[in-house]
Amino acid sequence: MSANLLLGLSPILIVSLGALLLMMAEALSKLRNEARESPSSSLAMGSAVVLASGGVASLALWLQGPDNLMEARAALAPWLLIDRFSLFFFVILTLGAFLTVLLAGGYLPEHKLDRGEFYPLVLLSTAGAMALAAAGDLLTMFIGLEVMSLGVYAMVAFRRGSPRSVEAAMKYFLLGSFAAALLLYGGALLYGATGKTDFSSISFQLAHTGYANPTNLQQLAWENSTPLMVIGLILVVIGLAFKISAVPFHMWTPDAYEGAPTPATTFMAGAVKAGAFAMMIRVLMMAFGDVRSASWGSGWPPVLAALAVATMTVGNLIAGRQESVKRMLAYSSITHAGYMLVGVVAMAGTARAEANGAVLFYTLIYTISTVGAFGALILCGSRGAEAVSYEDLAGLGKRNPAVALALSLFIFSLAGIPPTAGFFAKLYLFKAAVSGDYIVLTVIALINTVIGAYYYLRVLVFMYFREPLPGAPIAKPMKSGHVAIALVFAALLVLALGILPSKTLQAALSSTISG
Amino acid sequence: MSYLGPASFYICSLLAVSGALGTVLSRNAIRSAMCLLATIVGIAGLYVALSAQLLAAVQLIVYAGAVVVLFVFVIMMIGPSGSPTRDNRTFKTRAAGAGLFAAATLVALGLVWKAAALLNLFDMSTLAKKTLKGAPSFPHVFDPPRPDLGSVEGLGRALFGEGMVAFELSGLLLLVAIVGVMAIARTRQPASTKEPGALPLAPTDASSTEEPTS
Repeated sequence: MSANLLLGLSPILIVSLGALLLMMAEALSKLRNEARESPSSSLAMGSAVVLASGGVASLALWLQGPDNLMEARAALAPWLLIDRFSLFFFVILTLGAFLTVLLAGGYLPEHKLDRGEFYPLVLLSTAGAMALAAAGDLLTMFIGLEVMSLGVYAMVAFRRGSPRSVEAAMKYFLLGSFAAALLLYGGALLYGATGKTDFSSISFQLAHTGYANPTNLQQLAWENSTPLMVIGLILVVIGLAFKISAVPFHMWTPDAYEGAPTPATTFMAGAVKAGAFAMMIRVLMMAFGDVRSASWGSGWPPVLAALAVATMTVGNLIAGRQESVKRMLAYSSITHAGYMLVGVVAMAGTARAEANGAVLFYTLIYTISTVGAFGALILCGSRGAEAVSYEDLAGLGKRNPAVALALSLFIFSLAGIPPTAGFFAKLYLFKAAVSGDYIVLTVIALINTVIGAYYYLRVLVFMYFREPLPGAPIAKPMKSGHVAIALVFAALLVLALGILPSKTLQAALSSTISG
Repeated sequence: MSYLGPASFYICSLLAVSGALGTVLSRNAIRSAMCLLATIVGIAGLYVALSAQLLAAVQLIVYAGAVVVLFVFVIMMIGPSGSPTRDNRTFKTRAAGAGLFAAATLVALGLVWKAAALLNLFDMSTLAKKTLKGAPSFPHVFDPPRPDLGSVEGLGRALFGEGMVAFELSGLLLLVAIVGVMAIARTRQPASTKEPGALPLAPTDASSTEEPTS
């Protein structure tokens, strides 16, 4: 039994044991001359190797098929569910973290933040996000969420000397703890209503309430537990909506994203959001996926649809007014959360499997594109000459065509312009929403995509068609092999998935939640 | 309630509720802290009544022993002048708060009333689980507390037996917290490599937060 358990857990184990090993290695390598050699160069590569092997392990388990791992799954259930859904998200999470550590390997030494703790934090946070994506029980869900969040709070505060970074971390920490407390409270109410903490039992309790001839006791017990259930679900959804920064729980996002060191921002926009989405889908589909709770008339879909519309629209409208590119990308990540919520709503409809595949595919593409965009922004600036506002980027297309090309590619993908992968991600998502008969929602999402093109293309206009004002500060691109590797890798993925999306889409379509 | 009887339940609940009211209503911070202590002791008593002895002991040690003492330390350090004595709330906010509280109380009373009716209508002893093995019962009725579950041994068995995955994950949680504290608290910045915008740990004025960072 134990060997099976280790096999099922191997992606999480590789990442967390790798973090321990790297910490030991850093602590014991005191012989190294710290003034000459940066700890980042070796640690970034080490973490990248660990995360890559975690991703490969997940991929191998996915290819082998969880049906061949029945014993491992039984040993871990219901705490962690190793199904194709979790394994697909493991790949997304390790990929996002892999790119993040490479970006950090260039960013931290450049900005004199070169302390080794950043890498174990990324690795442990990723392990938490993986546990969150696979959690099948309210307890592991909460622990996974906290492991992920605590690491990110520390990463945001990593630039301790800067008041802005500390302010961002404090804001994120306080609001995040509040959201986690709401989530925990919601979980406690759900336990009180159903007597169970694992999602499949909660769903069993929910599904067996419509008796043909309920006895008085059954009727009364159900009526008594309904308010608890509803309030519990609302609180859990609020807690998760905070993590995916859905409007109106998005207030912390721009400040935290802007104040954090850019690799930390990258991790928040990519892996943290993906992990929280995995959890949201699993809670809604597994625990509250029964006919009553998931129907438009009597369940959560209208609430989530309202969240989606607000998130897309507000995120877009504010993003268009930003003068800082980093803040614009923060609001753009809010908008993308809105699009993904459209997909989650569509999962409640008739085209459930299609919507599931579309959301997973979208999450993968969004993670690569947004990590790439932030990474290109890192490469655009150097210490003392960072790329902050649109003006800083003026004329970059002439000064440094390679960096400008990379940034444009990821911006295209975020905007959803072919031949980049972002186009197909949006196409499949909207197609799934239409086949689930959510026409109005799709139309709103389409309008928002068009609005979004304005501020994405503005970046390109500044880079290629504007000259910097005389005397104005301009961004000087930095030189870093780590960042270059990450960007080339992400760019290849964006192009490959844009030209040949079918295989990956098939994989996403077959990555359903198995009960 | 299994072996201590209803009397202890009522005493502990009274202690907890009156302590909570005292915490909220008292204007003196020290008195509030002492009322919080009463609440915590009352809740610990309720845990014992539910045969969760270890939880009761932990509650006393951690909350009464550490948290309340910390509160008192802080209150003593700030001194009586630290707390504002004037109440700036308008009549409207008071009325809104009171209305919300009354509504919540009414809903809670209604639920309790219904639950009481349920208990009177049906003999709970006949409802003891008669489900098939392995199949969850519905609608669920909580088991009566088992005396062996709340002991150190019972908790240990639960933690290292069925709940081992969650237990190991909590180890990861503690580890990431330690590393995070190290990352934030450890400063190894010689003066030469200090950031231009970097400030020492002294309180900073609001205007300096406007410095641009990438």
